[in-house]
Amino acid sequence: MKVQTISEYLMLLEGLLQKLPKGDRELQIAEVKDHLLQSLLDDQKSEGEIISNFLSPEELSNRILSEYNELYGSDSTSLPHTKQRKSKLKIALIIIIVLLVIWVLLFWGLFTFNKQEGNNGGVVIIEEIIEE
Amino acid sequence: MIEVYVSMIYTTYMDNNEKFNNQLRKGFFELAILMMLAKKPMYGYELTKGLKESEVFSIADGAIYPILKRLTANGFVDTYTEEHDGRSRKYYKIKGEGKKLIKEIKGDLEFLYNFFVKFEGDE
Repeated sequence: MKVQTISEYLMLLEGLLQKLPKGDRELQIAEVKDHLLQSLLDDQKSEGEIISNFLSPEELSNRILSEYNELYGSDSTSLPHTKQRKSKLKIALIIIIVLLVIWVLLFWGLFTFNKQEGNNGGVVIIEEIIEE
Repeated sequence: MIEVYVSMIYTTYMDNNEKFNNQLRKGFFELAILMMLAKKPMYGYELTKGLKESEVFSIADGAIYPILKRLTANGFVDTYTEEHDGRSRKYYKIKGEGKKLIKEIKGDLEFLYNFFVKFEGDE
């Protein structure tokens, strides 16, 4: 199918750049859109002519993706944004685990302390209140 | 002087080894873009138009974006956006590292030029 309009071109390009992180993809599309619209204003040509002078969506996406591969490796998950997101998740997970361990230790400490003192803790108090 | 020499080297190698040419072409485009950005911050369409003014550096519409991506990722240029006619426009601005690279490449080209000129009379 031959692309005739700018919106068709951008839609096709967006589909071909699915491997990129959303933020990067949106920036690339916005930049290409600005270029095409400015050409339309300056060159006084039809949308079809402007697009035919532009690299095809396939060619442009190939060049962009191969540039990303050269820069960050072939795995799209190794892109800087994804890496940052992954390391943030790791940190959050470590914090949750540490908090969980502290929480468990506190409860265990309280439980053993009450047991040693022969105190049954809050449970007895609640039972006593209910009995009253 | 350097521009003439860059043009000479570029056209000489264009018809030879494809991979070598691609690397060389990329390098020269990067240099040309950095030199344009050294004058003022510019956006993709503006840079493409500027390159098209020279026959040697004429570039297909859209082809500049992967090159700009590389220059940005390698820390030679920075970007910022501005609103223009209701849409956001991404500008590229040269960084100190970019200016340093221009100096280095210019130095290399001058060295090459002087090296070849030295043997010019021996032909």
